[in-house]
Amino acid sequence: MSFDINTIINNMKKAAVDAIKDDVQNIPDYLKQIFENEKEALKVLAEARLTGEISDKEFQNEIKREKKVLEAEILTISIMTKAVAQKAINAAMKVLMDAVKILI
Amino acid sequence: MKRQYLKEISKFYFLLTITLLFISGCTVQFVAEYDESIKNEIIRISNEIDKFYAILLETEQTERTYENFKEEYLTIEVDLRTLLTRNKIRPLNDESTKQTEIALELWLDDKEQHKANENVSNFIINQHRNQFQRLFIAMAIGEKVKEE
Repeated sequence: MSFDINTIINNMKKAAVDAIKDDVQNIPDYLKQIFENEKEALKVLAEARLTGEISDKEFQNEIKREKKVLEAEILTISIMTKAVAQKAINAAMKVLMDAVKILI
Repeated sequence: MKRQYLKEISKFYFLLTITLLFISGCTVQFVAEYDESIKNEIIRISNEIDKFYAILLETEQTERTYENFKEEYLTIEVDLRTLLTRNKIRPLNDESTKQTEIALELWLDDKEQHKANENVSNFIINQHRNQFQRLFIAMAIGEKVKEE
């Protein structure tokens, strides 16, 4: 039984790409959505401060809260990135393991 | 001779790597296992908070005292603390834990502000309702992507 490393590597690469092709696109899409949301929230806040609807103290507190919300949203990007890497590596390793199992 | 020796060494390390991968279960894990009950709990608390703000918004300004909403504040605080504990005990779950800490921090800030001001304006209600919606969507997506 032969062990063609080039074919296996190519199959591993293909498996990794196939496993994450949809997920990879979701990351920039969601990142774009996060900043669209943030832009809208900051616009509303700035208008409210300019018209005197909220005090300076309230404005400062809202900015602090917005920073926290943004941090939480960016943490999701971190989870998405790790999950994609995990999926790609495991898909590639499965191809390798299946090839090795045939040999044993 | 030297070439043959290097070939043998490479073969040995390759087989050693394969063996080690077999022993270790052949998979890597960077994020916690997906937990559907956590995702459902995120959505339930999100709805609970949204309902709280909807009721607060419908309540006359004079009736929006902290005392009238104290029970709901405490119920939601306990729900968030429970979710935090559930996230904390899961391995490889730092991001989701931090997100829940942020949700709790913002909720406690809401509670303290309401208590101190004895009222909440429509603007602040809408603003905070929107902040929590974004936060809980981020948390739900963060849980959902852990699903293989």
